[in-house]
Amino acid sequence: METAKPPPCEDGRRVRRSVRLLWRRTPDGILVLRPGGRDVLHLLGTAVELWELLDTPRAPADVVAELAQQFGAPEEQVGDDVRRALADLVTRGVVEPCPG
Amino acid sequence: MPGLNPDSPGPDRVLAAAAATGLATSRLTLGRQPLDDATWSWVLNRANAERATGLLAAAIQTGAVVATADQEDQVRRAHVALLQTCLLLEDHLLTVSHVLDAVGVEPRVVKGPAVAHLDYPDPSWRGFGDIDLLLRATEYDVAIRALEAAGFERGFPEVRPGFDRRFGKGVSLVGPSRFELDVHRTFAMGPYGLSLDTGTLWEGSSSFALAGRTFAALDPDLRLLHACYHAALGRHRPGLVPLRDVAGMLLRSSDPVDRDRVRDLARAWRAEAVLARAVRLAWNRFDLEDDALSRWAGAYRPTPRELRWLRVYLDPHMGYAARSIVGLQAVPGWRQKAAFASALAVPSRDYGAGRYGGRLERWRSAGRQVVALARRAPKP
Repeated sequence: METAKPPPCEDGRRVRRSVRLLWRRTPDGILVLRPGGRDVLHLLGTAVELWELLDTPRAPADVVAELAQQFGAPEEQVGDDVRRALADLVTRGVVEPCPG
Repeated sequence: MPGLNPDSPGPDRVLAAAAATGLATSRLTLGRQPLDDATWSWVLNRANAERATGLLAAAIQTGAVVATADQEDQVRRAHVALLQTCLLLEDHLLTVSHVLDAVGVEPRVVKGPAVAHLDYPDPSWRGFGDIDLLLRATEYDVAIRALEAAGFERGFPEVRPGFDRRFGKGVSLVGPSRFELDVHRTFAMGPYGLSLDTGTLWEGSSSFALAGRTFAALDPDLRLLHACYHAALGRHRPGLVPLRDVAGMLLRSSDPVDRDRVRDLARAWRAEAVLARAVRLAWNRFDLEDDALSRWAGAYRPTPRELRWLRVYLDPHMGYAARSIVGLQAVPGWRQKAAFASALAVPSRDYGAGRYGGRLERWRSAGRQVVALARRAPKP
Protein backbone atom coordinates (compact mmCIF):
# COMPACT_ATOMS: atom_id res chain seq x y z
CA MET A 1 0.00 0.00 0.00
CA GLU A 2 1.66 3.16 -1.14
CA THR A 3 0.84 6.79 -0.47
CA ALA A 4 -1.16 8.41 -3.30
CA LYS A 5 0.22 11.63 -4.75
CA PRO A 6 -1.64 14.81 -3.72
CA PRO A 7 -3.14 16.89 -6.55
CA PRO A 8 -0.74 19.39 -8.15
CA CYS A 9 -0.66 22.70 -6.37
CA GLU A 10 1.73 25.53 -7.13
CA ASP A 11 0.32 28.46 -5.19
CA GLY A 12 0.92 28.32 -1.44
CA ARG A 13 -2.08 30.56 -0.75
CA ARG A 14 -4.49 28.13 -2.30
CA VAL A 15 -6.55 25.73 -0.27
CA ARG A 16 -7.96 22.35 -1.16
CA ARG A 17 -9.92 19.45 0.21
CA SER A 18 -7.61 17.50 2.53
CA VAL A 19 -6.46 14.33 0.78
CA ARG A 20 -6.13 12.47 4.08
CA LEU A 21 -9.82 12.13 4.77
CA LEU A 22 -12.34 9.35 4.54
CA TRP A 23 -15.62 10.54 3.09
CA ARG A 24 -18.95 9.60 1.53
CA ARG A 25 -21.77 11.40 -0.22
CA THR A 26 -25.17 11.31 1.47
CA PRO A 27 -28.46 12.39 -0.11
CA ASP A 28 -28.07 15.81 1.53
CA GLY A 29 -24.37 16.33 2.10
CA ILE A 30 -20.96 14.81 2.71
CA LEU A 31 -19.77 12.69 5.64
CA VAL A 32 -16.14 13.19 6.57
CA LEU A 33 -13.89 11.33 9.00
CA ARG A 34 -10.29 12.16 9.82
CA PRO A 35 -8.27 8.95 10.17
CA GLY A 36 -7.91 8.07 13.82
CA GLY A 37 -10.85 10.31 14.71
CA ARG A 38 -14.04 9.25 16.41
CA ASP A 39 -16.45 11.91 15.16
CA VAL A 40 -17.88 11.81 11.69
CA LEU A 41 -18.64 15.32 10.42
CA HIS A 42 -21.75 15.82 8.31
CA LEU A 43 -21.20 18.71 5.91
CA LEU A 44 -24.41 20.40 4.78
CA GLY A 45 -25.39 23.47 2.76
CA THR A 46 -22.54 25.86 1.91
CA ALA A 47 -19.95 23.45 3.34
CA VAL A 48 -20.95 20.98 0.60
CA GLU A 49 -20.49 23.63 -2.09
CA LEU A 50 -17.03 24.37 -0.67
CA TRP A 51 -16.21 20.66 -0.58
CA GLU A 52 -17.13 20.28 -4.25
CA LEU A 53 -15.22 23.41 -5.33
CA LEU A 54 -12.09 22.43 -3.42
CA ASP A 55 -11.72 19.19 -5.30
CA THR A 56 -9.12 21.29 -7.12
CA PRO A 57 -6.93 23.81 -5.26
CA ARG A 58 -8.23 27.40 -5.30
CA ALA A 59 -7.37 30.71 -3.72
CA PRO A 60 -9.99 31.83 -1.16
CA ALA A 61 -10.80 34.88 -3.32
CA ASP A 62 -11.60 32.57 -6.24
CA VAL A 63 -13.82 30.48 -4.01
CA VAL A 64 -15.75 33.58 -2.97
CA ALA A 65 -16.14 34.70 -6.58
CA GLU A 66 -17.28 31.25 -7.70
CA LEU A 67 -19.87 30.90 -4.95
CA ALA A 68 -21.12 34.45 -5.44
CA GLN A 69 -21.74 33.58 -9.07
CA GLN A 70 -23.44 30.29 -8.16
CA PHE A 71 -25.74 32.01 -5.65
CA GLY A 72 -26.31 35.06 -7.86
CA ALA A 73 -25.19 37.38 -5.05
CA PRO A 74 -22.56 40.16 -4.85
CA GLU A 75 -19.14 39.00 -3.61
CA GLU A 76 -19.18 41.51 -0.76
CA GLN A 77 -22.41 39.96 0.51
CA VAL A 78 -21.19 36.34 0.60
CA GLY A 79 -17.47 36.99 1.16
CA ASP A 80 -17.47 37.06 4.96
CA ASP A 81 -19.65 33.98 5.30
CA VAL A 82 -17.58 31.98 2.84
CA ARG A 83 -14.28 32.97 4.47
CA ARG A 84 -15.67 32.07 7.90
CA ALA A 85 -16.87 28.70 6.62
CA LEU A 86 -13.48 28.08 4.98
CA ALA A 87 -11.65 28.93 8.19
CA ASP A 88 -13.91 26.57 10.11
CA LEU A 89 -13.21 23.74 7.65
CA VAL A 90 -9.46 24.41 7.89
CA THR A 91 -9.69 24.22 11.70
CA ARG A 92 -11.49 20.90 11.44
CA GLY A 93 -8.89 19.53 9.02
CA VAL A 94 -11.40 19.16 6.19
CA VAL A 95 -9.66 21.80 4.07
CA GLU A 96 -5.91 22.39 4.07
CA PRO A 97 -3.56 24.98 2.65
CA CYS A 98 -1.66 23.63 -0.32
CA PRO A 99 2.00 22.88 0.40
CA GLY A 100 4.60 25.03 -1.26
CA MET B 1 -47.95 -10.70 4.96
CA PRO B 2 -50.44 -8.98 7.30
CA GLY B 3 -50.96 -5.27 6.83
CA LEU B 4 -49.66 -5.14 3.27
CA ASN B 5 -51.81 -3.58 0.60
CA PRO B 6 -52.77 -6.40 -1.80
CA ASP B 7 -52.76 -3.91 -4.73
CA SER B 8 -49.16 -2.87 -4.18
CA PRO B 9 -46.24 -4.82 -5.66
CA GLY B 10 -44.71 -7.45 -3.36
CA PRO B 11 -42.28 -5.78 -0.95
CA ASP B 12 -39.48 -8.12 -1.99
CA ARG B 13 -40.01 -7.01 -5.59
CA VAL B 14 -39.97 -3.38 -4.48
CA LEU B 15 -36.64 -3.86 -2.75
CA ALA B 16 -35.21 -5.71 -5.75
CA ALA B 17 -36.42 -2.92 -8.06
CA ALA B 18 -34.74 -0.34 -5.82
CA ALA B 19 -31.52 -2.36 -5.77
CA ALA B 20 -31.66 -2.67 -9.56
CA THR B 21 -31.02 1.07 -9.86
CA GLY B 22 -28.13 1.47 -12.27
CA LEU B 23 -28.61 -1.96 -13.88
CA ALA B 24 -29.39 -0.94 -17.45
CA THR B 25 -31.13 -4.15 -18.53
CA SER B 26 -33.37 -4.66 -15.50
CA ARG B 27 -37.07 -4.85 -16.35
CA LEU B 28 -38.18 -4.22 -12.76
CA THR B 29 -40.22 -1.03 -12.54
CA LEU B 30 -42.49 0.44 -9.91
CA GLY B 31 -45.58 2.62 -10.01
CA ARG B 32 -45.48 6.40 -9.72
CA GLN B 33 -47.19 6.48 -6.33
CA PRO B 34 -45.38 6.35 -2.98
CA LEU B 35 -45.48 2.97 -1.26
CA ASP B 36 -48.13 2.35 1.36
CA ASP B 37 -46.94 2.39 4.99
CA ALA B 38 -46.83 -1.39 5.51
CA THR B 39 -44.87 -2.03 2.31
CA TRP B 40 -42.54 0.86 3.03
CA SER B 41 -41.90 -0.32 6.58
CA TRP B 42 -40.98 -3.82 5.33
CA VAL B 43 -38.76 -2.44 2.57
CA LEU B 44 -36.89 -0.07 4.90
CA ASN B 45 -36.37 -2.75 7.57
CA ARG B 46 -35.12 -5.20 4.97
CA ALA B 47 -32.84 -2.58 3.38
CA ASN B 48 -31.37 -1.91 6.82
CA ALA B 49 -30.85 -5.60 7.53
CA GLU B 50 -29.18 -6.14 4.15
CA ARG B 51 -27.11 -2.95 4.34
CA ALA B 52 -28.86 -1.84 1.18
CA THR B 53 -29.99 1.62 2.27
CA GLY B 54 -27.54 3.16 -0.21
CA LEU B 55 -29.30 1.43 -3.08
CA LEU B 56 -32.69 2.51 -1.74
CA ALA B 57 -31.49 6.12 -1.36
CA ALA B 58 -30.08 6.04 -4.91
CA ALA B 59 -33.39 4.63 -6.21
CA ILE B 60 -35.25 7.52 -4.61
CA GLN B 61 -32.76 10.07 -5.94
CA THR B 62 -33.00 8.74 -9.48
CA GLY B 63 -36.80 8.49 -9.30
CA ALA B 64 -36.93 4.69 -9.59
CA VAL B 65 -38.76 4.62 -6.25
CA VAL B 66 -41.30 7.33 -5.44
CA ALA B 67 -41.28 8.18 -1.74
CA THR B 68 -43.04 10.67 0.49
CA ALA B 69 -40.92 13.34 2.20
CA ASP B 70 -41.20 11.39 5.45
CA GLN B 71 -40.10 8.14 3.80
CA GLU B 72 -37.21 9.92 2.14
CA ASP B 73 -36.14 11.31 5.50
CA GLN B 74 -36.30 7.85 7.10
CA VAL B 75 -34.06 6.31 4.47
CA ARG B 76 -31.68 9.25 4.62
CA ARG B 77 -31.22 8.83 8.38
CA ALA B 78 -30.74 5.07 8.10
CA HIS B 79 -28.29 5.52 5.25
CA VAL B 80 -26.22 8.14 7.07
CA ALA B 81 -25.93 5.77 10.06
CA LEU B 82 -24.68 2.98 7.78
CA LEU B 83 -22.20 5.26 6.03
CA GLN B 84 -20.80 6.43 9.37
CA THR B 85 -20.06 2.79 10.16
CA CYS B 86 -18.45 2.33 6.73
CA LEU B 87 -16.13 5.29 7.34
CA LEU B 88 -15.13 3.97 10.76
CA LEU B 89 -14.45 0.59 9.14
CA GLU B 90 -12.27 2.22 6.50
CA ASP B 91 -10.37 3.91 9.30
CA HIS B 92 -9.97 0.44 10.79
CA LEU B 93 -8.56 -0.71 7.43
CA LEU B 94 -5.98 2.09 7.56
CA THR B 95 -4.91 0.92 11.01
CA VAL B 96 -4.62 -2.68 9.84
CA SER B 97 -2.59 -1.60 6.81
CA HIS B 98 -0.03 0.10 9.09
CA VAL B 99 0.36 -3.15 11.06
CA LEU B 100 0.85 -5.18 7.87
CA ASP B 101 3.18 -2.57 6.31
CA ALA B 102 5.49 -2.99 9.28
CA VAL B 103 6.01 -6.68 8.47
CA GLY B 104 6.13 -6.18 4.69
CA VAL B 105 2.80 -7.82 3.92
CA GLU B 106 0.63 -6.38 1.15
CA PRO B 107 -2.87 -7.85 1.20
CA ARG B 108 -5.62 -7.54 -1.35
CA VAL B 109 -8.64 -5.71 0.06
CA VAL B 110 -11.70 -7.78 -0.84
CA LYS B 111 -15.47 -7.37 -0.60
CA GLY B 112 -16.84 -4.28 1.23
CA PRO B 113 -14.59 -1.24 0.65
CA ALA B 114 -12.97 -2.62 -2.51
CA VAL B 115 -16.31 -3.37 -4.19
CA ALA B 116 -17.82 -0.08 -2.97
CA HIS B 117 -14.99 1.99 -4.48
CA LEU B 118 -14.37 -0.01 -7.64
CA ASP B 119 -17.68 -1.52 -8.72
CA TYR B 120 -20.43 1.00 -7.98
CA PRO B 121 -21.18 4.39 -9.55
CA ASP B 122 -20.59 5.91 -6.11
CA PRO B 123 -19.16 4.13 -3.03
CA SER B 124 -22.08 5.38 -0.94
CA TRP B 125 -24.35 2.91 -2.78
CA ARG B 126 -22.58 -0.10 -1.24
CA GLY B 127 -22.67 -0.59 2.53
CA PHE B 128 -20.62 -3.13 4.47
CA GLY B 129 -20.20 -4.33 8.03
CA ASP B 130 -16.64 -5.58 8.32
CA ILE B 131 -13.26 -5.54 6.63
CA ASP B 132 -11.98 -8.45 4.55
CA LEU B 133 -8.42 -9.00 3.40
CA LEU B 134 -6.87 -11.70 1.25
CA LEU B 135 -3.34 -12.83 2.06
CA ARG B 136 -0.77 -14.93 0.27
CA ALA B 137 -0.35 -18.32 1.94
CA THR B 138 3.36 -17.58 2.30
CA GLU B 139 2.63 -14.39 4.25
CA TYR B 140 -0.31 -15.70 6.20
CA ASP B 141 1.38 -16.70 9.45
CA VAL B 142 3.55 -13.59 9.73
CA ALA B 143 0.51 -11.38 9.12
CA ILE B 144 -1.60 -13.12 11.75
CA ARG B 145 1.23 -12.93 14.29
CA ALA B 146 1.62 -9.19 13.61
CA LEU B 147 -2.10 -8.58 13.99
CA GLU B 148 -2.25 -10.57 17.23
CA ALA B 149 0.70 -8.59 18.56
CA ALA B 150 -1.25 -5.41 17.71
CA GLY B 151 -4.18 -6.55 19.88
CA PHE B 152 -6.32 -8.45 17.39
CA GLU B 153 -7.89 -11.62 18.77
CA ARG B 154 -8.97 -14.74 16.92
CA GLY B 155 -12.58 -15.81 17.24
CA PHE B 156 -11.54 -19.49 17.29
CA PRO B 157 -8.23 -21.32 17.68
CA GLU B 158 -6.61 -22.88 14.62
CA VAL B 159 -7.34 -26.57 13.97
CA ARG B 160 -3.62 -27.23 14.13
CA PRO B 161 -0.63 -24.91 13.70
CA GLY B 162 -0.25 -24.18 9.98
CA PHE B 163 -3.71 -25.50 9.04
CA ASP B 164 -5.14 -22.10 8.07
CA ARG B 165 -2.19 -21.34 5.83
CA ARG B 166 -2.42 -24.68 4.03
CA PHE B 167 -6.12 -25.51 3.96
CA GLY B 168 -8.24 -22.89 5.71
CA LYS B 169 -10.51 -20.27 4.24
CA GLY B 170 -9.17 -17.76 6.74
CA VAL B 171 -9.75 -16.44 10.20
CA SER B 172 -11.99 -13.87 11.80
CA LEU B 173 -10.29 -11.42 14.14
CA VAL B 174 -11.61 -8.70 16.40
CA GLY B 175 -9.42 -5.65 16.78
CA PRO B 176 -8.93 -3.27 19.71
CA SER B 177 -11.68 -1.04 18.28
CA ARG B 178 -14.03 -4.11 18.34
CA PHE B 179 -14.59 -4.14 14.60
CA GLU B 180 -14.35 -7.45 12.79
CA LEU B 181 -11.48 -8.20 10.45
CA ASP B 182 -11.78 -11.30 8.25
CA VAL B 183 -8.46 -12.48 6.88
CA HIS B 184 -8.80 -14.88 3.95
CA ARG B 185 -6.48 -17.26 2.15
CA THR B 186 -9.11 -18.39 -0.34
CA PHE B 187 -12.72 -17.60 -1.33
CA ALA B 188 -14.62 -20.26 0.63
CA MET B 189 -14.09 -23.01 3.17
CA GLY B 190 -14.58 -26.59 2.03
CA PRO B 191 -14.32 -28.04 -1.46
CA TYR B 192 -14.76 -24.85 -3.46
CA GLY B 193 -12.10 -23.02 -1.45
CA LEU B 194 -9.70 -25.95 -1.69
CA SER B 195 -10.08 -26.46 -5.45
CA LEU B 196 -9.26 -22.83 -6.20
CA ASP B 197 -5.73 -22.05 -7.35
CA THR B 198 -4.87 -19.26 -4.91
CA GLY B 199 -1.73 -18.37 -6.89
CA THR B 200 -3.95 -17.00 -9.68
CA LEU B 201 -5.42 -14.44 -7.27
CA TRP B 202 -2.12 -12.57 -7.21
CA GLU B 203 -1.48 -12.34 -10.95
CA GLY B 204 -3.13 -8.94 -11.47
CA SER B 205 -4.73 -6.25 -9.37
CA SER B 206 -6.85 -3.11 -9.26
CA SER B 207 -6.35 -0.24 -6.85
CA PHE B 208 -8.34 2.38 -5.00
CA ALA B 209 -7.38 5.23 -2.69
CA LEU B 210 -8.51 5.95 0.86
CA ALA B 211 -7.31 9.01 2.76
CA GLY B 212 -4.25 9.38 0.56
CA ARG B 213 -3.26 5.71 0.58
CA THR B 214 -3.51 3.33 -2.33
CA PHE B 215 -4.90 -0.11 -1.62
CA ALA B 216 -4.61 -3.15 -3.87
CA ALA B 217 -7.71 -5.17 -4.69
CA LEU B 218 -8.39 -8.17 -6.93
CA ASP B 219 -8.65 -7.45 -10.65
CA PRO B 220 -12.21 -7.08 -12.09
CA ASP B 221 -12.51 -10.72 -13.24
CA LEU B 222 -11.39 -12.08 -9.88
CA ARG B 223 -13.65 -9.64 -8.02
CA LEU B 224 -16.56 -10.99 -10.02
CA LEU B 225 -15.64 -14.58 -9.23
CA HIS B 226 -15.26 -13.75 -5.55
CA ALA B 227 -18.67 -12.07 -5.61
CA CYS B 228 -20.10 -15.20 -7.26
CA TYR B 229 -18.69 -17.45 -4.54
CA HIS B 230 -20.18 -15.16 -1.92
CA ALA B 231 -23.57 -14.93 -3.64
CA ALA B 232 -23.87 -18.59 -4.60
CA LEU B 233 -22.40 -20.28 -1.52
CA GLY B 234 -22.71 -17.75 1.27
CA ARG B 235 -26.24 -18.33 2.42
CA HIS B 236 -29.12 -20.68 1.70
CA ARG B 237 -31.12 -17.63 0.59
CA PRO B 238 -28.65 -15.35 -1.15
CA GLY B 239 -28.45 -11.79 0.06
CA LEU B 240 -29.59 -8.89 -2.06
CA VAL B 241 -26.29 -7.00 -2.02
CA PRO B 242 -24.06 -9.94 -3.07
CA LEU B 243 -26.39 -10.52 -6.04
CA ARG B 244 -26.35 -6.82 -6.86
CA ASP B 245 -22.54 -6.97 -6.81
CA VAL B 246 -22.59 -9.78 -9.36
CA ALA B 247 -25.11 -8.07 -11.65
CA GLY B 248 -23.38 -4.68 -11.45
CA MET B 249 -19.94 -6.10 -12.20
CA LEU B 250 -21.25 -7.97 -15.23
CA LEU B 251 -23.32 -5.13 -16.68
CA ARG B 252 -21.11 -2.10 -16.23
CA SER B 253 -19.56 -0.65 -19.36
CA SER B 254 -16.38 0.82 -17.85
CA ASP B 255 -13.55 -1.55 -16.92
CA PRO B 256 -15.64 -4.49 -18.13
CA VAL B 257 -15.19 -8.05 -16.99
CA ASP B 258 -13.51 -10.45 -19.41
CA ARG B 259 -16.27 -13.06 -19.52
CA ASP B 260 -14.17 -15.64 -21.38
CA ARG B 261 -11.43 -15.44 -18.77
CA VAL B 262 -13.99 -15.67 -15.98
CA ARG B 263 -15.42 -18.88 -17.45
CA ASP B 264 -11.92 -20.29 -18.03
CA LEU B 265 -10.96 -19.60 -14.42
CA ALA B 266 -14.21 -21.08 -13.12
CA ARG B 267 -13.55 -24.22 -15.18
CA ALA B 268 -9.96 -24.47 -13.93
CA TRP B 269 -11.12 -24.05 -10.34
CA ARG B 270 -13.91 -26.63 -10.83
CA ALA B 271 -16.37 -23.87 -9.97
CA GLU B 272 -18.52 -23.53 -13.08
CA ALA B 273 -21.59 -24.47 -11.05
CA VAL B 274 -20.82 -21.60 -8.66
CA LEU B 275 -20.56 -19.09 -11.50
CA ALA B 276 -23.70 -20.42 -13.16
CA ARG B 277 -25.71 -20.36 -9.93
CA ALA B 278 -24.64 -16.81 -9.06
CA VAL B 279 -25.44 -15.48 -12.53
CA ARG B 280 -28.79 -17.27 -12.62
CA LEU B 281 -29.76 -15.95 -9.18
CA ALA B 282 -28.72 -12.39 -10.05
CA TRP B 283 -30.57 -12.42 -13.37
CA ASN B 284 -33.72 -13.78 -11.71
CA ARG B 285 -33.59 -11.39 -8.77
CA PHE B 286 -33.29 -8.27 -10.91
CA ASP B 287 -35.24 -9.55 -13.92
CA LEU B 288 -32.37 -8.76 -16.29
CA GLU B 289 -32.56 -9.18 -20.04
CA ASP B 290 -30.88 -12.38 -21.15
CA ASP B 291 -27.43 -12.35 -22.69
CA ALA B 292 -24.95 -15.04 -23.69
CA LEU B 293 -23.64 -15.58 -20.16
CA SER B 294 -27.08 -15.76 -18.55
CA ARG B 295 -28.24 -18.21 -21.24
CA TRP B 296 -25.19 -20.36 -20.52
CA ALA B 297 -25.90 -20.14 -16.77
CA GLY B 298 -29.57 -21.00 -17.27
CA ALA B 299 -28.71 -24.06 -19.33
CA TYR B 300 -25.90 -25.23 -17.06
CA ARG B 301 -26.56 -28.61 -15.42
CA PRO B 302 -24.26 -29.40 -12.47
CA THR B 303 -22.56 -32.78 -12.50
CA PRO B 304 -23.13 -35.21 -9.58
CA ARG B 305 -19.80 -34.06 -8.12
CA GLU B 306 -20.89 -30.41 -8.31
CA LEU B 307 -24.25 -31.21 -6.73
CA ARG B 308 -22.42 -32.93 -3.87
CA TRP B 309 -20.14 -29.91 -3.42
CA LEU B 310 -22.94 -27.35 -3.66
CA ARG B 311 -25.01 -29.26 -1.15
CA VAL B 312 -22.55 -28.86 1.72
CA TYR B 313 -22.98 -25.08 1.42
CA LEU B 314 -26.69 -24.85 0.72
CA ASP B 315 -28.22 -27.61 2.82
CA PRO B 316 -28.94 -26.15 6.29
CA HIS B 317 -28.08 -29.54 7.88
CA MET B 318 -24.52 -29.30 6.61
CA GLY B 319 -21.74 -27.45 8.35
CA TYR B 320 -18.01 -27.44 8.93
CA ALA B 321 -17.70 -31.23 9.17
CA ALA B 322 -19.58 -31.93 5.95
CA ARG B 323 -17.59 -29.30 4.07
CA SER B 324 -14.35 -30.75 5.40
CA ILE B 325 -15.27 -34.34 4.50
CA VAL B 326 -16.33 -33.39 1.00
CA GLY B 327 -13.42 -30.96 0.81
CA LEU B 328 -10.98 -33.84 1.09
CA GLN B 329 -11.87 -34.63 -2.53
CA ALA B 330 -10.58 -31.22 -3.60
CA VAL B 331 -7.25 -31.35 -1.73
CA PRO B 332 -4.53 -32.09 -4.30
CA GLY B 333 -2.13 -35.04 -3.77
CA TRP B 334 -2.22 -37.92 -1.31
CA ARG B 335 0.29 -36.38 1.09
CA GLN B 336 -1.78 -33.21 1.36
CA LYS B 337 -4.98 -35.21 1.74
CA ALA B 338 -3.40 -37.17 4.62
CA ALA B 339 -2.28 -33.97 6.36
CA PHE B 340 -5.73 -32.41 5.92
CA ALA B 341 -7.59 -35.48 7.20
CA SER B 342 -5.29 -36.09 10.18
CA ALA B 343 -5.49 -32.43 11.28
CA LEU B 344 -9.27 -32.58 11.31
CA ALA B 345 -9.41 -36.01 12.94
CA VAL B 346 -6.95 -35.06 15.70
CA PRO B 347 -7.05 -31.28 16.11
CA SER B 348 -5.08 -29.39 18.73
CA ARG B 349 -6.49 -29.40 22.27
CA ASP B 350 -7.65 -25.77 22.12
CA TYR B 351 -9.62 -26.29 18.95
CA GLY B 352 -13.35 -26.42 19.55
CA ALA B 353 -13.18 -24.24 22.64
CA GLY B 354 -16.08 -21.84 22.35
CA ARG B 355 -17.34 -23.41 19.16
CA TYR B 356 -18.70 -26.71 20.48
CA GLY B 357 -19.90 -27.95 23.86
CA GLY B 358 -16.74 -30.09 24.04
CA ARG B 359 -14.93 -32.80 22.10
CA LEU B 360 -17.84 -35.19 22.41
CA GLU B 361 -20.27 -32.63 21.01
CA ARG B 362 -17.86 -31.89 18.14
CA TRP B 363 -17.82 -35.57 17.17
CA ARG B 364 -21.60 -35.81 17.57
CA SER B 365 -22.10 -32.82 15.29
CA ALA B 366 -19.72 -34.32 12.72
CA GLY B 367 -21.51 -37.66 12.99
CA ARG B 368 -24.89 -36.06 12.32
CA GLN B 369 -23.51 -34.39 9.21
CA VAL B 370 -21.94 -37.63 7.97
CA VAL B 371 -25.30 -39.35 8.37
CA ALA B 372 -27.03 -36.47 6.55
CA LEU B 373 -24.47 -36.70 3.75
CA ALA B 374 -25.09 -40.43 3.39
CA ARG B 375 -28.86 -40.22 3.59
CA ARG B 376 -29.47 -37.42 1.21
CA ALA B 377 -27.64 -38.62 -1.83
CA PRO B 378 -27.94 -36.03 -4.60
CA LYS B 379 -29.62 -36.87 -7.86
CA PRO B 380 -27.79 -35.76 -10.98
